[in-house]
Amino acid sequence: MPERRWDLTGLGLLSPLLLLLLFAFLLPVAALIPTSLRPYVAGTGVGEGLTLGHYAKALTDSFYLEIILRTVGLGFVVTLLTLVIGYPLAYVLARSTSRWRHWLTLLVVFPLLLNLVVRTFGWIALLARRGLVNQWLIGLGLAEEPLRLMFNFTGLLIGLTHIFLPFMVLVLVAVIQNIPREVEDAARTLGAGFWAVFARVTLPLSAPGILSGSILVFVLTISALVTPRLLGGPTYKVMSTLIYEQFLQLLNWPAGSAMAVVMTLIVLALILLGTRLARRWEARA
Amino acid sequence: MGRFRRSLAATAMAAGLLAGAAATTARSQELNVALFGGSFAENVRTCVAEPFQRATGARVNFVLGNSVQNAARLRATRGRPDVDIAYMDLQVAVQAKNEGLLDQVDAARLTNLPDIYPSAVDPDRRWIGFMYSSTAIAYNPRELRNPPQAWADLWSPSLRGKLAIGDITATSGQHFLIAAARINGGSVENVEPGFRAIRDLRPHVVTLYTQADQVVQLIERGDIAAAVWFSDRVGAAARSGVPVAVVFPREGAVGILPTFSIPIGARSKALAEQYMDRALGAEAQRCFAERQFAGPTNRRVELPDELARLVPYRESVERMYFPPPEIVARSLPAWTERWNREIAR
Amino acid sequence: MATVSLRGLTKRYGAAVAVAGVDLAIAESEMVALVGPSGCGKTTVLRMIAGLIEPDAGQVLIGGADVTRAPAHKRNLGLVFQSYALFPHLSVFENVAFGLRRRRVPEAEIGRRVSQALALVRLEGFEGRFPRQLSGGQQQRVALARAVVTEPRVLLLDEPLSNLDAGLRDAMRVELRRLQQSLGITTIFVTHDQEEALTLADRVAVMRAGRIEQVGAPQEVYERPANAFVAGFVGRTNLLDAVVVGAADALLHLSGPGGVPLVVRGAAPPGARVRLALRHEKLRLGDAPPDAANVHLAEVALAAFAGAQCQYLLRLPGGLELQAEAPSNAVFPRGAQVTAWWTADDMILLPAETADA
Repeated sequence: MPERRWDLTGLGLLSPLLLLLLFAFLLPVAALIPTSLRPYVAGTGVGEGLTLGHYAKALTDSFYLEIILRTVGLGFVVTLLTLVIGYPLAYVLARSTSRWRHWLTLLVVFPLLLNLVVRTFGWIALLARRGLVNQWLIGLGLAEEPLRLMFNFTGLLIGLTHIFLPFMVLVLVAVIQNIPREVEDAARTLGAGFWAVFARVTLPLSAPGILSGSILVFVLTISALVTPRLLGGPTYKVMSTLIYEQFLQLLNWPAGSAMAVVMTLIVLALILLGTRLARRWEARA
Repeated sequence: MGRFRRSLAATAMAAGLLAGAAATTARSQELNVALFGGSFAENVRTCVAEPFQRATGARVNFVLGNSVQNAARLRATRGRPDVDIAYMDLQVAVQAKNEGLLDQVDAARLTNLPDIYPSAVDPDRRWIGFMYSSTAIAYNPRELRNPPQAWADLWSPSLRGKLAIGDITATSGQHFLIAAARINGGSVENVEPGFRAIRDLRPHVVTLYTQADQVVQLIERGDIAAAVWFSDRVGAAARSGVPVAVVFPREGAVGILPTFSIPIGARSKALAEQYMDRALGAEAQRCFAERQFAGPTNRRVELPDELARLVPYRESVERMYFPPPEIVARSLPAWTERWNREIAR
Repeated sequence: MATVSLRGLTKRYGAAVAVAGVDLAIAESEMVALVGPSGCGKTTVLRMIAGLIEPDAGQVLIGGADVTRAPAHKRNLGLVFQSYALFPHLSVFENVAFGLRRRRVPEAEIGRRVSQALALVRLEGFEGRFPRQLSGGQQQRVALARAVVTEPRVLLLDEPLSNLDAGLRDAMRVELRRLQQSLGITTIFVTHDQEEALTLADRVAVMRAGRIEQVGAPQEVYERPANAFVAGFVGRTNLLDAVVVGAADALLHLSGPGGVPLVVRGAAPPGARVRLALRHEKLRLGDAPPDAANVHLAEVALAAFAGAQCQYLLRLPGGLELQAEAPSNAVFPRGAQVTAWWTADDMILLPAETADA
């Protein structure tokens, strides 16, 4: 088996942002473990003694399981969507020499300059029952009744994809810019058309960026709170809003802590899995 | 690395010194108050905090948060609270009291205490209600010519797709559950009929709101024609031009008793008691009634008739139903869990 | 194998002209070097032949067919990049097999042909390695194998030896020539190193500022540079400005810088200003034979020992400085008085030029 320099490149890309994120993400959660093992008595607060009850409930109760699956599913779909939309965008940004490039870059980065709550309220104005999107749809005769675009999967998907797209694009731009043009030119002279060059050379060589961008967006998506609270509302909960509810609305810190620990473990497991899969992919490519 | 660590240490030290200095000079002169945000905080500033500052020379700092956030703050800083007074709704205050977070108020230092309705004061004096509000029905008079007059009217087909109710995490959601149980043969201890009734109501409900302010937007955008909402919020919204009016339902609105407390270990307990006494005084209570549409808990406050009709006052206070806070606090987790599964999905 | 023909090939970048109407015909199995200083447009010409850059005007014909608008992947050419441009994520085997897979060659044949190509560049047994595990010379040979395995009609090499150490470069130069001759493949390569061009190529095209200044066999270009630029760029040359004083027996008598009398074979009217080229190695030191038309006493201003050769800077009376290169069997120290001489045929009379660098 050959040694794997490209994996290291991937880690190198991950390191600054993701390691910081993991650090800021893991330490506080580790601090929650003692709390997560304490019983909670409604009306009187955190009790004495130790119990695994909160974990048992989070992992066996069908309601919580559904939310866990929904959260992970949302993470996957948002990641996939940002990748599918972000890759061509990043490719153009990394490779274009036209004057549009600066405008495109600005367009991609601009949402990052706006406050998250402002952006989310922007989406509310668009997606609400009588929001702009529904007004257009009805005005154009494409829909008779207003569509439900908020407080469900669709709304969260749209909002979160928009918010995390810049992260994916910026990571991918960096990686694509690092692929030597001559390597792609070499493939062309060897008989590869545009798509063959893309599939056989550009895409495999951007695998480290795809991996780090995906992990970044996935982690950001499933730990996002503000947007799910505003666009998902109480009727469409994800793990982060459920944890928020336990901590700040029910005062049930032990249950909230247990869920936070579960979420962290899921994230870590999926990151490990993703890294493994990406390694295999590279080995085959 | 070394230089970075040194500069970090220096910064931390400087910050510590500054914080220490601020703490020493401010210890006796500052009062930190955790209270609800929005127009509520503005009205507290006008009716209580500013007169208090003028009278005592002390500085009042506001820390904004809802009831549970304030309770969470007290729990997290147990014994060494960073606030001297915390505003919380009754059922949350009871929970905080049960967790041993709240200090006893010195009755001798609160000259206005004898004038407060006894039901608004904790027998242990660990919380005191400073206003009455209620969970009632709000509606848009431009959209509904015949507004609902009773809780039961909300189930009318004419309101299908036009209603907002509070999520169970909002006080109004809990109260509506209790009200729905009571008009269907249940009680605060048996909310089963309430759950069944609200499940039936689900097609009527456009949104379960989590923040009281959301209702203003929903009404302004025309997303809803009616909502289960707080009577004091209706008054404030109507005054700022929102097309909204209040109905106290025939079966009885559900009473809300916002309270304030002094956490154990508060740095300025005496000053906090002075602040509370002013908030309970007739002048502050009337000011708050006029601005916040809050029913006074001080029996000696006289309100003009016009205002008396809009706020819980005297007889209407007696007609309201106040759910026993101990039971609500104890039942809330179970209610939430069931609500999440059956209503909020 | 095929002929290559360039007709009026032109490329502009904004106002700057990178290639200004290049015409060049390359015969089957011929090896041609495009040589010139950096920025002369030689790499742009190569990339236009490969189809990686689209010309603004002119034509590229391969085997007589116009491929000017054909995309790179349809031209069936082999290109070796200066950076080698190996696929970092693929093994040596897969790098070489890349072009074959694009042509849907059956797997068994791929194996056979890759082995053959690797044997050709003497890299048997390296199939499983990755580019990063190879030395520069090995990477270079993989790039070569990758370029020739598809049996391209033309092989293009961009500065093929410039990234190698001096020792390796000489070995690869020999190897490259051997490979080209054994395959009999039409080859065009680009280099800034005139020595590389002279030793490797059948013909050399010297480029400057987007134009070809001279095309010819190495010896021809060396012995008969078309102008001062070629004379200065190819080989080591002293360039002298002189005025014709008189002519006799097909010899010109001239007055050089500082009034130094010079004799050269050629014809020009008296009073004409001309330019002369004198190769370093043509200027010899020591006793002059009787037929030496130019004999001068000079002082060794600088002497540098360079192995088999010694390089000198000589100062003639009147201040003219000339560079010379002589075998190291007799070394003259700095400050020594020597006799410097050359024949009338050793010096080249360059054609008159209008604008000159």
